[in-house]
Formats: sequence, structure tokens, C-alpha cells
Amino acid sequence: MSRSNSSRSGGSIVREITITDPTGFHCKPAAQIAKIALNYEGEITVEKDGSKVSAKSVMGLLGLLAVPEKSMRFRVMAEGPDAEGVISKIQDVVSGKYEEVK
Amino acid sequence: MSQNHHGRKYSKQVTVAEFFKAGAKRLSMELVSGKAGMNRAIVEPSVNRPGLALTGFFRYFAHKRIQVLGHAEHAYLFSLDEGTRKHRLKSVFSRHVPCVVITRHRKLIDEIVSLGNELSIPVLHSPLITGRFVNLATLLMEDLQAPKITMQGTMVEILGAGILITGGAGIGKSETALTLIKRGASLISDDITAFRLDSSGDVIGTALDATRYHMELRGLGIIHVPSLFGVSSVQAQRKLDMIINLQSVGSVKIEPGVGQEEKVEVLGVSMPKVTIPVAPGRDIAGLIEVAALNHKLKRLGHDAAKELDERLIATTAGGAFRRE
Repeated sequence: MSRSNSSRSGGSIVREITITDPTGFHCKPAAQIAKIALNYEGEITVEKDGSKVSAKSVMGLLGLLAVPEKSMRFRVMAEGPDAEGVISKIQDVVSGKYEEVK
Repeated sequence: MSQNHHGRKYSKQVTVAEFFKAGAKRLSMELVSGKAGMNRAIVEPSVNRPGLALTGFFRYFAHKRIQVLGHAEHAYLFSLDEGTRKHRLKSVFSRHVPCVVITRHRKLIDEIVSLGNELSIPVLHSPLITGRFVNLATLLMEDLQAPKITMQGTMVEILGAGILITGGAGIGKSETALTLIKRGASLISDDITAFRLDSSGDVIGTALDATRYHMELRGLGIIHVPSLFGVSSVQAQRKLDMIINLQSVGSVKIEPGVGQEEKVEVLGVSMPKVTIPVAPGRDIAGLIEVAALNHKLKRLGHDAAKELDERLIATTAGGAFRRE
């Protein structure tokens, strides 16, 4: 399960997401997030410990988030139309609640 | 735009916990006491042997460094009577040293163990010989303190040159790298590369741990490069020599090239940057190979564009083409 706080900064939305899933972050959620980001008109960026990657990059997401830490926090920034909605989707992926629309 | 996601550059203070975590294996360290002080900062990224301080001389005592007690320090401590030993050790510990390391296999002095807990100063033990520990710990601290940055881009080594391929999502960074690997280049990192500035001023690129030696190719998914192309197709790290930025032809106006090189700064080091327009049918991998070769040639002192220019000027000024 995950907790989050969101805040508005400029025209973009930033939200802090916590991963508490015991299996951590792995390939499936990375691929789902990258797919969401690729289909999104705006830009989604993920930040952790001062390093930033584009959410479009599976390798970037895995490199940044697939680390052996028990409870891990990272920031997601979305800039573009319906930023709130797209961040909620990413939140759902992380909490394991995301259902792909075919 | 998504062309360049440059991470933040940071050069932070290393805590004892970070030093311990990074070096537990390499330096075979274990925590003896003083766990409560693991968040202390190692203000000076270096190692000190507090021999003089143990004799009671504290002027210029480098108390901000990791304090190492080796064979000599122990021999000296054992030569003291118990009261003096306690007093001297307490004087060293109470000068807010970040941590104390005991080297070699030896029986730990009880006073050191209890002072660690009492003053919340981590006491670590390493079985290494003191000199070796000092060398390795210094290198490790330099590594931990080095300015770092992560950049979006795929890094390869081609003909001895470390090249970062950047460009927006879907432009074909990984596909280009794959072609280069098949032609003999080796992969350092796919899609995201971590850089650090080493002590000699070189920018060193490496992969992030989780994805090292893997690549993601649209349509194929994730591949393990050395399994498919052999161990020579990958490298753990490499000095960065140049950046090649792939741009779709429509998105930028590319000036006809006569050799003026664009420069960008990576961790404060100036790097040549070449922008290559990507269009169907262009052999991007081939162009990158030529860019790498040309870069090597320039380092050897030949600048093709400059030499041609000089020749043309000599021709127009002298009225005759100079033949070699």
C-alpha cells in the first residue's frame, strides 16, 4: 500500500509516493508506468535522491526505483493536461490497483 | 521537452552509515559499538591515525576524519597504565571524531568499546592491515564524495572513446547502441547513465545497479547484453569523451557542418557535443562511429575541418594550390 501527498507548483503537479510493497519495485510496474508516460501528451518525471529520470524510460525507472530499500519514497512530477489524473494512475500502479484498459 | 533530463548535481557530506554500508564488504568492516552515532558526518573525506593525539598532543589534530587505530597505536596504548589510557582515549573520542576504526585481528580494548557507546561514536573493526585499510578507505571516501549526476542517455564505448547517446524517448538511442554493439562497441549503460567526477578530473559513466548490462528495446522488451553478445560487449564503467545528441530531422534546424564543435558541461567538465539528425534511411551508427574516430583524430592533433580551411586560405591567398 502507499501513501502520498500532492502539491501544485506552477502548471505541474508533484506527488510523493511511498512504496511499501515487500517485493519492491520491479519490471511490471516499470513497464506499466512507462506505457502511461508514453501515451501521455505531457511530461512525467520521476525523482529520487536528487536524480531525475523520464517516466518514459523503463531502464530509468528500474535503475532509480529497483533498489534494496524496505520502504522507499520518490517524487512524481506531471506537466500537461490532466496531470492529476495521470499521477493517480501511477499511484495505482505502485499500489497494485492499476487495471490496464485494453 | 524531454530531450535532456539532467539530474541535480550534488556533492554532499558522507555519513558514517553511508561509509559503512558502501565499505562493509570491501573493507570487511563490522560495527562494534556506538550505533547511535551512525548519522555523524565525516566532514573531511580522509583517514587519520591519531598517534600524536594519543600522546596528549592535540594541536592540528585532524578530528574531522576517520580515526584508525592500528598496530602502532595499540602498542602505545598498551604501554600506558590503565588510568592514563582511559583518559587519553576519552580525550580523543570527546573531540567529536566521526568514527573510530580498529584494524587487524586483535582483542578489542574494552575502554574503546564502551567509549563508543557512551559518546555515540561508532567503533568499527576491520581485519585488514592498517596500511591497506587506509588506502582503500581513502579511495572509498573519494568515491562517495565525488560530485555525481544521472543523465538520460545510453553510453557506449566505441574504438576507445566513451560516448553518451542522448535524445528524446523513442528516437532510437538503444537501437543505435545495439547496432554499434554488433559492430564491436561495448555497452556501459542503457537509457540512464550515472556519472561521477573522479579525482583526476575525468567524468566516469556507469550503469545503475539494478539495470547494469541490460537493455530495453521497444517491441522486444529487456535483453541481457553479455548473454547475447558475449562479455566483451559490456563494460562496467568508462570515461566520458563526447555526447551525441539524436534529434528528429523535423524538430531542429541543423546547420551545415564545417567543424565548429558545440560544448556542454558535465559536472563542470567541458564535453564536445554533436547533434545528429535522425531520419529514415540514415546510418546513425555509422555516423557515430565516424564521430568517435574523428574525436580520436582531433586528440592526436589533427582537425580535418581546420586543416581544410587552412589549405583553402593558403590557396586563395597564394594563388596556387599547394601540392604535397
